[in-house]
Amino acid sequence: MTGLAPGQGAGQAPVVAPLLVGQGLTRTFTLPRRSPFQPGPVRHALVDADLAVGAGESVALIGESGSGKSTLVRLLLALDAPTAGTVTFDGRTVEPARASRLRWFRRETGVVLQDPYSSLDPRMRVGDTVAEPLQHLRVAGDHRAMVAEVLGRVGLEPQDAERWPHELSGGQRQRVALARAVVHRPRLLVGDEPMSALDVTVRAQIIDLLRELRADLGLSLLLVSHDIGLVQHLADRVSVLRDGRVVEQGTTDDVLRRPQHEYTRSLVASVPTID
Amino acid sequence: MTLEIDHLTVTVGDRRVVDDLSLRLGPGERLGLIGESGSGKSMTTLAVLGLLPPGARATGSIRLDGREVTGLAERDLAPLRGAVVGTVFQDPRTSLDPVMTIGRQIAEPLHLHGRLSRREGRARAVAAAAEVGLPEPTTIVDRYPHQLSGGQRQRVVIATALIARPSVLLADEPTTALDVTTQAEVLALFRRLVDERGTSLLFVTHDLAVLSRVADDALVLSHGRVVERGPVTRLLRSPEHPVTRGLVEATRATTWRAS
Repeated sequence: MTGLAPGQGAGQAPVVAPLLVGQGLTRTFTLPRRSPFQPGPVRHALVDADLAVGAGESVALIGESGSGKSTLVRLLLALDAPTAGTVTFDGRTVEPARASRLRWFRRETGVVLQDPYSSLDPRMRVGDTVAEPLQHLRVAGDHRAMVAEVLGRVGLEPQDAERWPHELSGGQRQRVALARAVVHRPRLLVGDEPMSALDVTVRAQIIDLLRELRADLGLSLLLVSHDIGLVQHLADRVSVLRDGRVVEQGTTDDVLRRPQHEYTRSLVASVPTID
Repeated sequence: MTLEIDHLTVTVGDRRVVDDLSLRLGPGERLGLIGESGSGKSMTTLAVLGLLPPGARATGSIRLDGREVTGLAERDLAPLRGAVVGTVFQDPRTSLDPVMTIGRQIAEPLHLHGRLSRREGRARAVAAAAEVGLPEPTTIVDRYPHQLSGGQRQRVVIATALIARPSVLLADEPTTALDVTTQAEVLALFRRLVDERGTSLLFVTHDLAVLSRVADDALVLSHGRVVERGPVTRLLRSPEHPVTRGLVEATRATTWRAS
């Protein structure tokens, strides 16, 4: 795969300023030795992957378990160091480092994970959970007011700040997780399978909410998912990962409706529909 | 009828989690139970299996192959599981015993329900493994669950559920934990096995798109009550109850649309 920066390649990328750019990302893991006389075998979790998210753009990364999705996201979020390749955010290099040196990058990014049950601390009230990033990231200002404001934005009430996670439904928990991810006004929101634990009516609501947040806050979105439906409804562009390689990328419409790679074709054909 | 439920009500404390539910499932029929979390669909399957959690009480009647099962003692119920009703639950990681070989696992219902030599059990397991499309059935039966992929493990669960030739197969979100290509394969496997053997299928899911691939008719559950029932194609095309309509709309807004 050649390097595809936004605005380049196959007339597919919109002309927007690149915000998060991963180039030539490779990650190999050395497995335990099988013999004392030979080095351990090497596993290529990710090979020469390029991915760019433009300002205000929504990009999805799709692939099945073991495709390298999570590895790529960990590299892009500087939670892991690549064997080769670089990550930049708004032109600035991002590499794993101690918390104080990465604080600027953490302020620019928010993360929502799959399971709203395990991602909230059961011993913390909603308000404290949502305010926590403000403290860690040393964000100036009235934290209580910021929490109240963001709770409203995700469709919760100010008094929900006093509630405990176990008092909330799955959908409400995911709203809390979203509030926590955007309370510090990041420019990029990363969602790792953010819907898979939710009922279908709640999913529809969260998709709407993500659209609103994107429009209101000018958020860029990086979605990691194997849920083709979600991707179709939220992403402008898609990258398809298989066996650690980006096998196809382009606009959502092109990739999903006119898939070029055989793997993408089988993926799309497997999705159950009601039409 | 292979499964008949009349006026089933399940209460937990003073809450009715299943409220006056009735259904009929004939030989070879494929019926879906659809609803969101808390709608009572899983409680219904647990009631059929006599596996309700402590504190839950069931009233009404449940008959498997004409035999009343409500009120049966555990020692009378246990032989029915596997023999009359096979089960496939969501997560194949937790429904398999990690220290038992695949072959022992598949043949276990046979060992529980009759005398069978080790060799005979193994031979039956190999045949069953081949039938559910597991690769290299003669060697895979000697492996352990952690050596298999998620899709292969779910095939093992299905082989185990069907080996004693039950008349009903109960599947509760059996593909939710699987990747989409694996899900498509496993759904096709369900259809094929049910067709070939005339097993009745009760398929529990929150996913209308998945349901439309395996079931002919469905019951829509909300707050423990059946709010609508009918052919799946009709429910999708012209849902009548607001809950069904909400489900169909949300499904259209979230799932892949090819056109």
